[in-house]
Amino acid sequence: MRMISAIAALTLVPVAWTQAVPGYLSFAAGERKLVELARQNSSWIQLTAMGNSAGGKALHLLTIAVPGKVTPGARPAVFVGANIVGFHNAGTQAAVTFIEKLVAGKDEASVKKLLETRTFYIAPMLNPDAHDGLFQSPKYRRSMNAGKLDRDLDGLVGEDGPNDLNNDGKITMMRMEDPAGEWMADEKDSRLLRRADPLKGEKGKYKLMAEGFDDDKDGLYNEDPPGGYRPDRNFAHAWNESDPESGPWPSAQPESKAIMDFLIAHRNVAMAVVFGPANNLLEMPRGAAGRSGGVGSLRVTVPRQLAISSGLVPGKEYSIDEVFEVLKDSPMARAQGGLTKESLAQILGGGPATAPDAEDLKFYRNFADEYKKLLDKAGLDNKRSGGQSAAGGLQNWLYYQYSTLAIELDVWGIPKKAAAKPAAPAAAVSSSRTTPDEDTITYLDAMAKDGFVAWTPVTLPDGLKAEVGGVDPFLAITPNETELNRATELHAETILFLASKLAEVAVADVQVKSLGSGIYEIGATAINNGFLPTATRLQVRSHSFLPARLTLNFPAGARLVQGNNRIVGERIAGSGGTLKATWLLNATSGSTVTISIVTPNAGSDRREVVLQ
Amino acid sequence: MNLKSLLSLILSGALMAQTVPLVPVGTAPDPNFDRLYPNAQILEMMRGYAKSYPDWVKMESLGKTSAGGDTWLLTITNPKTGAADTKPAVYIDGSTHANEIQGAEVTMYTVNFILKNYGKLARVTEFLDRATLYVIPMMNIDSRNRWFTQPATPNFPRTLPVSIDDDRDGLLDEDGYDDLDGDGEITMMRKKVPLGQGRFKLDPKDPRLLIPVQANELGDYLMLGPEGIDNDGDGLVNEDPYGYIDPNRTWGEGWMPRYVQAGASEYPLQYPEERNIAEWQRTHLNVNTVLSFHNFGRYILRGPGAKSQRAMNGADLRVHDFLGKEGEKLLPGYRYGNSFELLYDSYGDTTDHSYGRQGAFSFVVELNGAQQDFNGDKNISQEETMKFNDELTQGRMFVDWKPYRHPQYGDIEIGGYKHDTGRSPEGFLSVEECHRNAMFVLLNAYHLPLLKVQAPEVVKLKDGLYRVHVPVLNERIVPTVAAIVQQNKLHRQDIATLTGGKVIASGIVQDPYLNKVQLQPIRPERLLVNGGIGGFSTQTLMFVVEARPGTLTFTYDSIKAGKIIKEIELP
Repeated sequence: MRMISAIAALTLVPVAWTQAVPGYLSFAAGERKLVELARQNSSWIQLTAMGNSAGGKALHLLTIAVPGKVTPGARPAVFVGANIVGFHNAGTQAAVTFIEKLVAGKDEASVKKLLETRTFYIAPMLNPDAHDGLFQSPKYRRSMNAGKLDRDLDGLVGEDGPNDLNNDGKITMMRMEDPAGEWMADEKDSRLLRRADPLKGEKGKYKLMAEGFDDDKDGLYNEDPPGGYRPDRNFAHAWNESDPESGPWPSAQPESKAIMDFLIAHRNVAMAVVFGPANNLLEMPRGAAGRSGGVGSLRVTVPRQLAISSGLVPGKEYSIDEVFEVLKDSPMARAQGGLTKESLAQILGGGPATAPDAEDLKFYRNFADEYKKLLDKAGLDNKRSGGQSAAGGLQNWLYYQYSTLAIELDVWGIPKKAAAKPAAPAAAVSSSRTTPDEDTITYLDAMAKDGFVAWTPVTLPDGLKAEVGGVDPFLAITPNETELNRATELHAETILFLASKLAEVAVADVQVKSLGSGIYEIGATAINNGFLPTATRLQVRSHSFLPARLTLNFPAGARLVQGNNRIVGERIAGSGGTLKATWLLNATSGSTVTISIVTPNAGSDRREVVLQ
Repeated sequence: MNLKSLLSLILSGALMAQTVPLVPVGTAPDPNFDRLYPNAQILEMMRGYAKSYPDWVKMESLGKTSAGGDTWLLTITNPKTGAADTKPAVYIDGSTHANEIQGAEVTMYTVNFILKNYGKLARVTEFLDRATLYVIPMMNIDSRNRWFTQPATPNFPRTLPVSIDDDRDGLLDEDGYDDLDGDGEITMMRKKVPLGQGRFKLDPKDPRLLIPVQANELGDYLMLGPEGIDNDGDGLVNEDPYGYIDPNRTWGEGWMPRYVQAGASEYPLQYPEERNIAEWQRTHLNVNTVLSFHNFGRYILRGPGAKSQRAMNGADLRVHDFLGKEGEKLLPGYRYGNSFELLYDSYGDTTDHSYGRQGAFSFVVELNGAQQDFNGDKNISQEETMKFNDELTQGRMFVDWKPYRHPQYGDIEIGGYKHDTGRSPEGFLSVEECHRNAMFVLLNAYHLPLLKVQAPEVVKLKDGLYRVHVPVLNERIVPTVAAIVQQNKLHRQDIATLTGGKVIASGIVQDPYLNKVQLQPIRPERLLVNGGIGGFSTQTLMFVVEARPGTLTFTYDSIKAGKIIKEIELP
């Protein structure tokens, strides 16, 4: 009974004490580190905050760009955001390692070139309020920011969180013998539990839950832990309206709002790397079943009146491609000032993209090939499953709404011991409340012997008997220092590789032909010298960024014989894709005209030509 | 008098007899609702009511708007019967779309009516005694001001006061409408062209009107849209005017990005006009009903706004249906239904947000409609609208065509309907429009949940042990907890407690005759009434209690229906 009262006194808030974890930065230590990096490199690293967390801690951001011809705000940029999930501290380390790599490699030719032509926006700790779960005692894997939330609608707030019953400094699992329980010991390894299969005549023996007692005596265990909302579920793409932890509405949380406000104000971002629990290069992003980003194949029905007047069948489903062919020259198209497949999809209620566009996926695949080679070379596993980025999360928003190429990387995961099994459908580490798989056990036995807490009996305050044990909740995402350093180093290299692939436009060619009588035919070609296109396919539909604009500027007195002085390109293909224009200009000989190509996030270029 | 006895007084109706009409301090505002009021006058009215009826009317700002204005809120209730935020409430607002001016007048008519009729009309008195009215007359206040003070059209400005690069050329709002003829109105442009180059011809009966030509006809007129020129020299006219963010497509529930929903923001509730209200809603869950006044077309719209959204729960749908169909009777010519059936898909709109996030029954009312169907063919032609202009307004509405030399189009004509016509009713029709809609607000107020504890049944099980059945009646259509509250886990459930003894079991009675009870296995002294009490129905609650003979106190505490207390005698 003495043990019980000691347990009862131990709750998670306030934190009993904090513990250092070799290789990992607590929020305070991370803050000191960033301040120091900015101080020592003040001519090219700026430390600012995108905003504050619900608990009032800064969302630190480093802007990294060596002074060059173009100001940092106008250069193609890579955004790196880490650990918005709160328990992915390896992500924070990867972001910090990348900064250190830039500092160390500043004078190497390849790094120097990137630093002079790109901007890196790096936010290593996007969920400050949850960041220190790894360092607390007991360790507690969580994503909630500071705040209050009544998850179980009983009018009480945070009244039943987990508890460290066996006093080992970790919140693990708890199993309780119960005839109604669904879980049984796995015959292959007594440490494991698996669900009993009634079709094989198996009976469950245990209920399985997170470690803790029923603080509020409502018959439920740990159903309302202290803490607020999850910033990592508070973005607007595929937001879960019925999960209170996702926030009262998308963007309601200060963390998610600050991140979006920053990125919306920085449309020079051309790519985003998110360090989080999923890995989009080990497993291709799939999104939800249904509509892909490609607009032509969307299925829609046409409103009755419009259908009848256009010879379509009311109520019948058509693809946007089909409807476009029928309507593109119709009075309706004229009334709209021209019709595109994208605008048609909007008018006909085609709905949002819910899966990546096939064209965009080609680039994920291409990068995946390189990334796996890099992993292999570094002796890191490249066969494990990567899971899927979370619905309502940062990566989802970055790709589906902000419309940039967004790549989530998990930095490290428990290695796959044998040939790859089919990928798991859900995020590999979405919950601590499942039992470990065989790879985890292999890893435990070989690498992390203290990662498993043997099942030990406890008596709960209400007299019930239970056993506490299971896998350390951070095991699957928190490698030891040696493994961590290999993984973060590799990921710093990966970002450098990705940053070298951005689109980059230039004026490639200008041809001037005098047609006589002061009329000049001016032909101009802009080229994309980078590897990536100037826009994702999704961006062509979403119009989230301005298009590439090829413009002819001419002196007062000159006059275009035809058309507009500007033509736009929504997406200039990579590796030499072009955007061309031809103008007829009435001007005097000897006048100077300027041809410019301007993009939001693939650079700009201009060329002056004297007409002769 | 303490709160408890006061509440029982109200419930017994005793207070009603004591009420007297409100006597204003000084002179209360006395507006005519036969006109549209500019912002300054609406604000003067709001301040006037707050000053004339102190304690009953509170005026506060919920925060600054995008252009530095304020989100002004009035809170109205009888202060002697409890604090505003503890009572069931109706919330109304107007002018979400800046050009939909008359929303503000309808809300102010409602305010004026209830303050002037408290103590005179029993239903108005009951409303302010037991409930609260929250009013935001001018949600999109800065753009509404612009509609009055700068050249406008019936449809413009409608936007939030933020600049959007509509034509994606890197410039903001650089090519809007222009009052070319300087008459203070943005009307229309048309051009006479050689026969065969146009798509319209003059109406032979009325040359002010153009008729689209048939497929086998040649036209000699072009319609060129609202007054304006190519300000930025890009070959397009009026392609990037002031705005455009649609304040009714930026709410949090069912929101979609701009490529799905035109007018959407970059993310839900990006701008303070809505965010101020959404934040306020989170701490004002006592709102049961939301009415947002727009125009036009005579509709009472409910959610969901888009067909791809989750269907509304059946129980909540029946409440919406009842209120909406009753509304159709009070508002002749109005049609009730959801937006995507009656009008169009609408993502991230008011009704979806206040229903899905606040748990309130929600309607958008589209005020007013086309002028008059003179020939009764259920279609209002442009000839009929012109007849209305000529004969019922003596030509007030229409500016006749005048020639103009346009920099791009050459010789054109400018003319058309003034900005204060069409969407808002003419003054002589305005009072009735305001009154009927105010009565629809009062209908919704009448149907706020009204709880009564009916005679409890006490059974003595043995000495010192009793079983108490407490029937709690909701006399109106709105339930104490909407189904959406549970579906989206919006706020706590209703809680019933019995004090004065030790509760050893409690539960929700499913059948009092067959004694079927859904027991609450734990914490019986604090009975969570899952689902609350439905409209026009009774829910009996059971307690088994250890107590000595004497008095127990039963409390029913509901976020949306307030708190009710009843003493129960044990034999």
